[in-house]
Amino acid sequence: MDDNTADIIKLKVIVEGTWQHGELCGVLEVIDHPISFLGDIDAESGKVRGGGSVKGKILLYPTAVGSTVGSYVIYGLSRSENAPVAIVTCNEDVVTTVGAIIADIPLYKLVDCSVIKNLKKYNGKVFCIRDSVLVMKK
Amino acid sequence: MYLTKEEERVLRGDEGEVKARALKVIVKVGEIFGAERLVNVSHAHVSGISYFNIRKYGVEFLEDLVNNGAKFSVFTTANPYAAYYLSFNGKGFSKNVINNQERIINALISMGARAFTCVPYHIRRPKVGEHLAWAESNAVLYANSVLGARTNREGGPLALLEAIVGRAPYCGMHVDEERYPSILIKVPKPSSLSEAAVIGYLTGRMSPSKIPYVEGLGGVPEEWLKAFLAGVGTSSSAPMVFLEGITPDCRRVRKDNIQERVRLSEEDVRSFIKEHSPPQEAAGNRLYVIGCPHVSKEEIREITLHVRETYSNTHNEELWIITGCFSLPCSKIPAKSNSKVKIVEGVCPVVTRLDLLGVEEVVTDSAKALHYLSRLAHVKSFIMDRKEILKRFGVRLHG
Repeated sequence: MDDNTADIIKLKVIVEGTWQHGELCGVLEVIDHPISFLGDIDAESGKVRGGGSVKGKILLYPTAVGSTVGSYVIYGLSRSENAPVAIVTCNEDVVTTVGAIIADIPLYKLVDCSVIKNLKKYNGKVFCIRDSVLVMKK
Repeated sequence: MYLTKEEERVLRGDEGEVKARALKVIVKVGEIFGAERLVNVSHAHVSGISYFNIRKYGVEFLEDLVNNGAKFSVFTTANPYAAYYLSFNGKGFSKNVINNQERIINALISMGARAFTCVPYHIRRPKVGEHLAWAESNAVLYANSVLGARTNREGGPLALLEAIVGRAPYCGMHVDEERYPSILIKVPKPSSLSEAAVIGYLTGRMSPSKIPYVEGLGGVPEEWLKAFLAGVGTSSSAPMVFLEGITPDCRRVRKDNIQERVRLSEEDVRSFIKEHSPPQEAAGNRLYVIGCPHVSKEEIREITLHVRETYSNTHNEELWIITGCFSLPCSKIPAKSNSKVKIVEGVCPVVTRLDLLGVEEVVTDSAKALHYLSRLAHVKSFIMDRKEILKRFGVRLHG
């Protein structure tokens, strides 16, 4: 993907949120390596190890690995009001899918996974998801 | 995915919001793995029971289910909990840990959990071809490889939801076509339980994701097969091992068709054990642990007979011999003990922050415990054979 197309990224809906409707917007937080929720993210504060918080963000990572207890961490983020507004991943993995449903967080999959590396440079910019497309907020 | 009329009814919420949401998770996971339908399971086994792993939000999740009326709809057992009621040299856990661990146990019991152990196959032995929804790797491997039952390696929360609905996605190990070995591994014959455990651990390393066909374990005692499979489950994500002469599915496959062939040498096993053997003198407070996976009822009976009530030692060492809480209520009183040896049930040292009790190193007969203790329990870990450990505490078994 080159920079000209950076503002239109196609997604596939995996889990729809039950209360979020219309446009979902949040600061983009791209983690470009697989994450293990148990150990990498603190449910109580929403902090990523060695990074910022996921609260209110559009969280993007390739896949979740490690303990299946990770699903409870995603649930915990929601209980402590530190949940991201949406999660976007490359691979559909069990830890994220189970976590997203029990935490009621919308989950999407990147249609083209290779864009993840280029998206890293947009960390901190506000993006929105509407009609299965991720775009930078104008 | 194809759903039956009854499943559609559940998904619509006709049997309540909790069951609908649980089924939604199972269907989504099934779609990820390309399952065409769901399958009824006869026994679910749930993991993720220790407070040290699931923490505050895990407790809240379980209690939330209870408050919304969740009940297990099939026979359900659960993994062991943290050793919250035990002490080491007189030091125990905080009220907060005890309270939260009890909340988890109570939530599971009120949903219908029947036992707390990592060896559910010792409570209810599944038949060949029976469909299960089991989390806990050693149990999954035992069910598929020794008993010929069918289960994927489910995650803790997923197995919990499958217990509520009584269904699992029909894919992976439930399907004949997926139950095939793709690497043949020849292993040396173990001469002790801990050797069997190490052979399993090293076998898993040689096959981190493929299902192996293992030659060399015919005629090995069941307790050693448990140790072997627990070792495999630690270093490999394979849900099954074809054990020549043991696994019922061996009838369906031709080992001549397996292209990749490797061999584990006796030397590899010996040097691994040597490298992980404890130094004669403990460098800090040392705990010995037997029972990962949990010791069977029969073996506990045998060991119990030989524990001397008057035994004591001058080192700051204790031995915990662990079995399952095979039926409710679970006991918190050691079945037999002296000042140094405790026979206890329902707990798992691996998911217990032993460092908080002042334990600095653990000697175990299990390759699984050896691996996880140093990573999860914040202690150094070493391996020693079961008989040697028992002898050190004055317990001499016959044979």
